[in-house]
Amino acid sequence: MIGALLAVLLPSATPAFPNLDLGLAVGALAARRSDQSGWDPAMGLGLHLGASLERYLPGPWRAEVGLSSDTSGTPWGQRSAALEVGRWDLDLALRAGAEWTLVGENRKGGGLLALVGPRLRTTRVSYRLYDEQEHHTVLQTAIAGTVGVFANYQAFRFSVRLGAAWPWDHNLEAWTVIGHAL
Amino acid sequence: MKSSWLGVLLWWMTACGGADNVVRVVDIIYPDGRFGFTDVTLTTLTDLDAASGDVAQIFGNVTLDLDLSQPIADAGGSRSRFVAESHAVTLHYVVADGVAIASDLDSLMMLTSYWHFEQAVAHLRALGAPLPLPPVPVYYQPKVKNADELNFPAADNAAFFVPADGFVLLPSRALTDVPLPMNTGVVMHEMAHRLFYYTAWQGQLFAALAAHASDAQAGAHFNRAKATDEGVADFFAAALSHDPAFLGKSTPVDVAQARNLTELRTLDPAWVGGAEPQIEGSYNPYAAGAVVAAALWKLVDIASLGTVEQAVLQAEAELGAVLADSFTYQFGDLERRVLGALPAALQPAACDALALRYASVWSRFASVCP
Repeated sequence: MIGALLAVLLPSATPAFPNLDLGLAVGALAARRSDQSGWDPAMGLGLHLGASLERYLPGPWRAEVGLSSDTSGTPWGQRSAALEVGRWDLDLALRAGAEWTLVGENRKGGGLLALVGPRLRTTRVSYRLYDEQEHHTVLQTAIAGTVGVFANYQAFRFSVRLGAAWPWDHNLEAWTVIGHAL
Repeated sequence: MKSSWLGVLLWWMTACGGADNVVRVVDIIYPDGRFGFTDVTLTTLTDLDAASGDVAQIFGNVTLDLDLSQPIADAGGSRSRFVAESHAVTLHYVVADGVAIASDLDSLMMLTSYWHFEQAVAHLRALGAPLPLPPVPVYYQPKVKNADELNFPAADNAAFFVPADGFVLLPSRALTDVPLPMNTGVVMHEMAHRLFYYTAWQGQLFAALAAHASDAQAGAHFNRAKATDEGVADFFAAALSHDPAFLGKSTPVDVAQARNLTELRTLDPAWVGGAEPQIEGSYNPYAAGAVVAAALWKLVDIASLGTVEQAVLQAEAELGAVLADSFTYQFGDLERRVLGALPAALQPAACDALALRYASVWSRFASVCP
């Protein structure tokens, strides 16, 4: 794992597994407020392990497994001294779909990607009322989809994606993923 | 093969199950009046996601337009004019062991408010109150146009907004303790205003105001009735929450103390005229209202709480037979009817309990307290 993380930071002239890439994802999330008065922002971090499957399957297929996390709480300006509500999500997602290279070639090019697959979300909701605290952790399943653009430069891989899930969880996600071939 | 995969997918998507209207809310759960979390079944809720049911529907992203330039129709007839914009809410929650756990503060606040509205309606209906009314709209944290011009609070308050026949839950800004919409007593207080509107005013307040607009004394009569309305609302709030200091968890000490129902309060002779006291040039109905509330609460030392509550409801109904038509109200008009509705054996003690408090208008009690 440490080696893989270093691989993200240090360019490798000859990746051992050029069809596999490991990426660090930084996300900006927008959650629709429950009272419909706007959107609340949140930040997320994640790791993506991806595989380009064109060597094994006919077509520009790609598969990924992603682990990501985000947290949200009561917006500033709406806080109560007596009461706090916080939420933390940890997502494990499997995604498969296609990536179409529209510009350039395989290792120096870019295009569009569209991936969809199941997502297992662990949600931890935290309450504090005065000095009384309680936490609830639940598992939720959904189908999550993402569309975006990608660019390859030698062993590096960049992508920017928009994602959402069904059933609708009131979230729109925008992720930037910087990866490197393994 | 495809159908088996589809079956697995559907099972997987639905494996977490639903909440069946069991929700976690904030309520007064300790004998000393402290708030805590508790699980309740919202029996009147028909749509958990939208916080909508048989007693209330909560709306968000609301804009209220306080345009008072046109005549106002009673019983919500002018609602569309005052509610410029509103949207059904979408609660955020997770389901743990069959209980819906709100996952943001707004959702927790709305679920808790709905629970308190349900409790308030159930309590009043159990007492026989005439509340066969359609679900009431609850406007959650609205933006209010013209609020400054009309001295309408923009935050830190809750209200029964009579022109729209709906409730307004304003955002908490200065009040950062237990938010007002989560305070059982506060919600009951507002529901009691709606009851007063439909019983004492017979749902005809704006028609009566228009009919008596030229009466020079109409303002004083209305102020006295409004103060009494505030007092009755505080009484029912304390009754449901079992806490005569129900405001204490949500407001500063001075505000809560000014409304504490356990205080011995007397009706200041200067207030009898209906013009005093004032705050920033406007009549303050809470001062005389606190006298009314404390007097009604004192009667609970003499009769059971339920007996006093039913006497208050009967007095409101009797008042309804005359108030809207005559548009005259003096302090004591409701209270003496309450005394008259108590069992005869308890009336002498009840009269003694109120004599000092209402010394300035005691002659109005002569028919019940000779």
